[in-house]
Amino acid sequence: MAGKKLRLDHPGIAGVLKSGEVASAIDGLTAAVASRASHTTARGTVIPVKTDSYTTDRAAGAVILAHPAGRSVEAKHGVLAGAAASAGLEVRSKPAAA
Amino acid sequence: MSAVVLFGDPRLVTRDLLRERLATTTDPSALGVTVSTKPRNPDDANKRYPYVQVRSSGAFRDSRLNGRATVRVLVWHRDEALGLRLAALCEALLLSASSPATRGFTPVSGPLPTEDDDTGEPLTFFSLTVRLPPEQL
Repeated sequence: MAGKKLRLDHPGIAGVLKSGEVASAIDGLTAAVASRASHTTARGTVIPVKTDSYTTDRAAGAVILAHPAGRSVEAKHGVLAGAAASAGLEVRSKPAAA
Repeated sequence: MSAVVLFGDPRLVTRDLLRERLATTTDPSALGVTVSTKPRNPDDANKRYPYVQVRSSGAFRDSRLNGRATVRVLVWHRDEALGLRLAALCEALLLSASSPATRGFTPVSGPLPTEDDDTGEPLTFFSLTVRLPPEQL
């Protein structure tokens, strides 16, 4: 291997990250998290869960507690973080863009 | 048989560090603070402020010796500004903490102000990842 150079194909990698196959995999994970994120408050309010698909420098998905109490519910019960963990995902901060 | 390795409770590690660090701070937002892993009783007529609760959102290990967990820290205070100040202080104290019980903390989200949907009280929370040292049985 001595003397060999590795050159990353950045446009090719970007193409893969935005491809339909990756988007489909992300949609599957998004749906898996959303299906585990149901919550009903102590007052009986059912918190609706919505999903969204979008593209940044890669395919991405969002799971949203679509209710004014959503932030409080996440604070007290960790509904989204727990749903992500049970779907095999680890919650981390998004790295700053290089 | 290889060594049996486990990790500590991330909530207790975080709670103990916060109690220790907050006990020596003179910041007004932290005066009289209670730090616990137990939930606050929303029906308690004699609510004490500020109240800090440490919860966990999941633990992970990606090798035998590398353990992590996500912890949420919730801060109830008598008004939103004090709650945000105390939450920011708690986050800063944990991020700078050095202890044999942890390999350190990294930020995940927050501090985010909101309102307790059960009581209407000001509530602020943030999340961190805590890296845990292995314990061999």
